[in-house]
Amino acid sequence: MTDAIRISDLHKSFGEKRAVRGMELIVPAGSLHGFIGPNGAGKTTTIRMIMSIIFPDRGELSVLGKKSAIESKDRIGYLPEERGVYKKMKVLAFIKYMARLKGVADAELHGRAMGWLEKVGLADVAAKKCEELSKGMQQKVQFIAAVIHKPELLILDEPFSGLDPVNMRLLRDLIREINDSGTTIIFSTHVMAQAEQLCDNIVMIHNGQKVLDDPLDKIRSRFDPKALLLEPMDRSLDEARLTSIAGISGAIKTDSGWEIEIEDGLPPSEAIARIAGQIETARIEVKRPSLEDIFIEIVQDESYVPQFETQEVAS
Amino acid sequence: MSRMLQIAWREFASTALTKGFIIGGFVVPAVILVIMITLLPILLKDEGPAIEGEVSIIDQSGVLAEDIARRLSPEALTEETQSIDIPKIEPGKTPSPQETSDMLAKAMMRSIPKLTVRELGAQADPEAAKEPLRVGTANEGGVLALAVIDAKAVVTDETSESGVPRFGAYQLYVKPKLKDSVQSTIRRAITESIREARLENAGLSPDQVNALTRVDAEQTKEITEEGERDSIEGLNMLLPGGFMILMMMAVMIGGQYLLTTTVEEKSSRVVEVLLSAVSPMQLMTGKILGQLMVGALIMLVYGSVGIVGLLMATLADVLEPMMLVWLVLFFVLAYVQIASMMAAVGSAVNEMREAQSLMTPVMAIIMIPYLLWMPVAMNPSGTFAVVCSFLPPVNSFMMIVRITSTERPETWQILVSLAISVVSSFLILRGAAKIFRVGLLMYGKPPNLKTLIKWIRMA
Repeated sequence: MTDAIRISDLHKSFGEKRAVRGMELIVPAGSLHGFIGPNGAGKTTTIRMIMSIIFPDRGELSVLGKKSAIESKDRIGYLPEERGVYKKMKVLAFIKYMARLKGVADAELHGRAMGWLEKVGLADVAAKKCEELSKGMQQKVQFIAAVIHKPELLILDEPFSGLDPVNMRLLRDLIREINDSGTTIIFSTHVMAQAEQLCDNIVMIHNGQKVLDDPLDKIRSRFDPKALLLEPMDRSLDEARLTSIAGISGAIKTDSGWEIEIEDGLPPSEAIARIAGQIETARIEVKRPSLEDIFIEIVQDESYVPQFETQEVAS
Repeated sequence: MSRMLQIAWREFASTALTKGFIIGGFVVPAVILVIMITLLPILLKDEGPAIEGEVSIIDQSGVLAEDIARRLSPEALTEETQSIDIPKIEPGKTPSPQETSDMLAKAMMRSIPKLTVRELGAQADPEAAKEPLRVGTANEGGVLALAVIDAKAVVTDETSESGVPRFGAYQLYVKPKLKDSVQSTIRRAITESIREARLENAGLSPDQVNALTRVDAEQTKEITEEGERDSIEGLNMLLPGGFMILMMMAVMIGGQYLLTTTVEEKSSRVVEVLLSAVSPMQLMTGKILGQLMVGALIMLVYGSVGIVGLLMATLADVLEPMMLVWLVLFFVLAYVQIASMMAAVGSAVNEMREAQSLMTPVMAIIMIPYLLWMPVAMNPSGTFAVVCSFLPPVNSFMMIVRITSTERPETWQILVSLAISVVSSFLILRGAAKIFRVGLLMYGKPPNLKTLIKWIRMA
């Protein structure tokens, strides 16, 4: 199976600002990739270049085996970050119009549109004007417009922004379902927790460059845990008592207990055994770094060299 | 292609198949027209209350006062009003200027002023007689006017060097804001009175003099293949003016809607959703095509009204089928130029308010034909007209004015102008497409003209 997206040495500047600098990326067909990074990192610019909405200054790009997304627009679904609906148009008419533009045959239009509206719980507003819908409802309509033509590649730019928790879960389930049916999905977010909950693979973008590109598990293991979370039975436990244990380099009081730093080279399992041997514990666990922690670590560490780059140089 | 048509159809349907468009574009103008036809004569008929008041006369000639009083009596004025020959306007016949002014005179005289004339005597002091004029307003009545007639107004012993008698004059003083129609009534009475007195004094019969000096001319006739018809002054200007305004209206309305829908699509953020399905060029072309249909609809409806009007006036022969063909061709090209600019402006701004400054050059281009059509239509073969009809982006409008005016341009000139329009449409469309592509996804500070030119170079 060919890769859904291949990007190599992609550059894009807007005047002085270099929005994307030497982006390298391979998205295998069928995968669920999360683009994460803060606002202004270059996620949307990269996505727009993938969609051939804007064009790179230089670099190679192929989408679904074609040189440009224009050649395979019908096979791609896209939910842009800057999205909207025709306010005066009726919901069903809008979805049908978008589906027609995406090449859905007239005979299938109504069935598909109504099927999706029912699926997201909007069947009863099909005849209403888009402007009568709440923002969350409009968002679901936009999502339908992006997927109604059964795309092979689905690109969702900040799909969760503006949704309440219930709809967020609904959308998450839909994204998983579409991915399970074989569609390659890329979605961007600046909320790391969403990517953690959904993605197999994470691409982290910072200052127009890719700083991470790995499966989530691999990223977590690379950013090896150096800390434990301890909830002692004795709430009056003090720091000196903890640091007196061999291999413990520091301890910080948290709301529920202590965050314990362990010395380099000491396996977390050994440290747990030592603490449990000396202190009566209610709970002790390895602190798993969140994507946010990892991201902040990368952004703050100016000496950080993205590992994939060194790998590529070596290979 | 089919996508472009989809966009075009949506653009057309969302603009023209709306209540607002149908009401604003057709119903309101029709209602206004009906109101003007039915209500205007009624409104004109009712002139308000008649003026009442006094006209003082100091008649130093001593022979006129009585005659003037007679002429200004309500009975005489009523008779004078009724004696104006009001021609019946037959359907399909445009009144001549003379008929029009007669009708206007009647309309103005409809409420006959109630004037009483008071003779102050030949020796009265004009300065003292002016005093009552200083009090109150014309509407309150009282003394409205003072006429001082020179002693030598009728009989004179003075002659000019060539021996022609030199008569005295009269001076009329009136209260401020006295109606023009009342003033002219008084003037007419005094002038006629003096004229007849002089004629009688010279032993001539006023009726005879009138008959000798009056020359009636029959309405000028135009000889056409079908026969004769009354020549209508202004018709030669009517056709070029009508064609140009029709074309301008269609171009402007289509272009304006294009601007609005583009800004709407951008501000409602629907544009990037569209761009995921179609290219910017497809989107722009589709939109231009959709609004072209709107413009064409406007032209069709109003053009048909115009043609029906000409048919009713049995003037349809002034139209040549080729004129309509040229109109359609030049309309499409002029529209593409203006619409491209509108689309470019619409794509560059975030809301209508911001479009104003960028619209100024576009509006200037649109205003030029308005300013130039008269001189071009009056002298359609002059160098000025010829140059204008080759000068993009106004050449399409100017050529239509020339084609429909009295002197047809040579066919090669029309074809050259058409070619110029085609080339300039293509260039403007291309430049606009570049701005459109960049502008659609640019949010934030609206660009100025310099930035737009940079975008054209950049894209």
